[in-house]
Amino acid sequence: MISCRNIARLVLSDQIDSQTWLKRMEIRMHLLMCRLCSRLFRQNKDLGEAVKRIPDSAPEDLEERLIARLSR
Amino acid sequence: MNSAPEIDDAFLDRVRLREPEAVAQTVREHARPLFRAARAMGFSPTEAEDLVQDVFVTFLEKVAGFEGRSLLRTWLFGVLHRKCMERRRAAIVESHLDPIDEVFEARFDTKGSWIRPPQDLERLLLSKELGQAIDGCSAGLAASQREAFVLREVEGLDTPEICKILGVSVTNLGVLLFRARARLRECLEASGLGRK
Repeated sequence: MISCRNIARLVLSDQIDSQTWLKRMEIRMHLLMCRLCSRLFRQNKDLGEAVKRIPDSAPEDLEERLIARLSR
Repeated sequence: MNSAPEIDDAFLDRVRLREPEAVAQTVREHARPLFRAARAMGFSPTEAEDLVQDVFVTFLEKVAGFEGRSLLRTWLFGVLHRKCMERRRAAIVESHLDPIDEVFEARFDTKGSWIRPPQDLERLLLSKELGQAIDGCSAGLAASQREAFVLREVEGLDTPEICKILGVSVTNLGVLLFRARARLRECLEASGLGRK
């Protein structure tokens, strides 16, 4: 039986997809039954989505400035 | 995962001839992701812009011998990564021991069950304070962990591409991502912002 520690490790290191089919089924069953690991799994995805929405600190005219300098 | 189109030889020929529109298109497509990666490596906005310019200068110098078959994006990120490392005079040496590993282990009992379960961060993930919280928390990450995290989560690159860019194995990338996320989670949970 796979432990919560191992599930958490696999979730945080993005290693679930590289597991064997059997192992992935075991992980899926664990996630269905374990509220805490399922929370970690869900929030790991949500955190990834959330960081995409954070505006970057690049100046608005970054591209145009670079193009101007490269064409000199 | 984000997929970048492979560039064709005709387009490369236009860049080789320094056709302004082709050069501009390359810059418009890649400057911002490169800038974000340089920032993730801990460089200031001015330094990041300087590094990105340097990457394009190198690209224009080397474009004559550039293999169109390899993904331009991978190549540009790879050049940026090496330039960042040169400036830092560092290489990715992910140490065998990182304090976050122990912090993570301490969340479980000997059977591997949660002692200190993950907090509900749902509210924080939807809040306006998230950007600021992540900025603050990511300062505690090693540059290579931040870079791996940004390439995966912000740029959406897949494992083989990130490994190629960083010059690390799949296992090493797993360690970098694990430590980045474990550390971010610890810090976000400690901030108390997620509590109802």
